[in-house]
Amino acid sequence: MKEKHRYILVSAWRDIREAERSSFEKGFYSSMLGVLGELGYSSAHPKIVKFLDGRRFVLKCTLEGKDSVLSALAMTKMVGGESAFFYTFKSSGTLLALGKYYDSAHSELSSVFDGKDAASGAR
Amino acid sequence: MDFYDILQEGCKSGKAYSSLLGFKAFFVAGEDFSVSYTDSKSTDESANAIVGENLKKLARLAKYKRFIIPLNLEIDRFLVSRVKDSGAILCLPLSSITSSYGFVRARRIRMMQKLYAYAYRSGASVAIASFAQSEQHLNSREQLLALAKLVTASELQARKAIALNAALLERPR
Repeated sequence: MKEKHRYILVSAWRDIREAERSSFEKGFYSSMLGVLGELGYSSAHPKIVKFLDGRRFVLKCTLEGKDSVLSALAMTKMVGGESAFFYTFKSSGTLLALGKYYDSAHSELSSVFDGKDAASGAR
Repeated sequence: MDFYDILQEGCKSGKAYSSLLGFKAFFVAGEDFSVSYTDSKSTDESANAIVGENLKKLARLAKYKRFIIPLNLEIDRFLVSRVKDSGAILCLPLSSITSSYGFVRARRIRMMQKLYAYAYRSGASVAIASFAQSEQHLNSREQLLALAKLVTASELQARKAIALNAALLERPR
């Protein structure tokens, strides 16, 4: 039977520029491995699907590993040697639902977290 | 079910994020409720919440609807029975888990699980809050629920424990 997954909308502590995204992903996966352990990581299998803007990205994980991933995101305070933290806004079974939530909440997210004009936020 | 979270004084700026992070409201120590520390020279015995490592002192100050926040996660039977008899609320701070690493964190998770299980079985009211000291330790509603499930091992108990933070809306008599 097809394995079920969940998509989680995550916000990082700062903008991650395109040039540094690959090193960020390496550091992120390494930190998640440290918190989840090898067994937990293989069962949850977290993977960054795409960046919606500088700070927000979609993380995919298995349904059974969703709680572990959420806990791991709360406990991860260091990525690539830099002090870090993550907030999660919504989790859903489809990317479409997350996209709709992001479109409706984008201006509020930008004004509260980024202090930027919503119109200048890139996707 | 509305979710509330409890933050320390250093996290005042986090109040702006409460609705985005999925909470009804954040309660900030010193602003939304009075807090007193047992480790300081003089303890305010009329405070809404008492925080500290000295479990005997915390037990003595347990009072109806008062939040008792132990920074020492050892099981103290006297504290739990005082919390249960007085109608106080034992609040477990998740910041002790999120602010530590490695073996220390693993030990604290285990201790918190055991403390929660003992207190719950004894009939005491147990709440769970992040007690974040800065934005770095703030959690969204989903993250808080996942951490609470780690401690309680049951989704229903986790939800009830987080919802119990709403008791801060009432004041101890």
